[in-house]
Amino acid sequence: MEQSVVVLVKSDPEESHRPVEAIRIALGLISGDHQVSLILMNKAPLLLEDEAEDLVDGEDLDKYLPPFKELDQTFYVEKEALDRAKLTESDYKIQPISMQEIANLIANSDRHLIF
Amino acid sequence: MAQGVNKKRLGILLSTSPQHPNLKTTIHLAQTALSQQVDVYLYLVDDGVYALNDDQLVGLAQEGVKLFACAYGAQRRGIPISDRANFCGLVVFSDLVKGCDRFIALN
Repeated sequence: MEQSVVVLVKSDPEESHRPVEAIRIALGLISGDHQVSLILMNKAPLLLEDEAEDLVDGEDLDKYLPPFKELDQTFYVEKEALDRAKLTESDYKIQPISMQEIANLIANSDRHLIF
Repeated sequence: MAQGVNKKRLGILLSTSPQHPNLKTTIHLAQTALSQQVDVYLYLVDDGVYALNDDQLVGLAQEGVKLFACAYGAQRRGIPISDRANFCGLVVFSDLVKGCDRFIALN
């Protein structure tokens, strides 16, 4: 039975490879028919910016991100992080989310992965 | 996913390097679960694949843990494919997420 899975990305993609790895894993879970809620916090929204190739393993995002667009997958971006990011004209489906809503998503999920 | 009759299944994801305390947590958690007759499925991903160099963790397979390692992560880190684990992809990981009664991610 498919599960509801929260993948929360809070690491800094300018400093760590883990945010890109989280995107790869999230894609694998979506391909496995899980209901995935992908949440970006802190500096993780940088993954969706145009200059993503400057990030650690950023060149891999060219492989991992297009399916999210094709599948109309929502990126939940924590509100304060969204205010700091330059995503006003993003091609991705972005939904602002509060910390309380993040807590609720995690509380109501079957699994959660935090990177 | 093969399992014993009526046995619970615990899935564990380990994504951190062996220097992180998560390694010991994983080993003790797996051993405790086995002692409680729980089937344990351990998936190593990201820097967690370096734990394939840890004999105590790999030895869990002799105790009954089903040990899997991300082939992509291993390849990127120069870890050779061997019989120390079942090397596989995210399809297997997705199945573990799906099939286990409880799933813990140690990230």
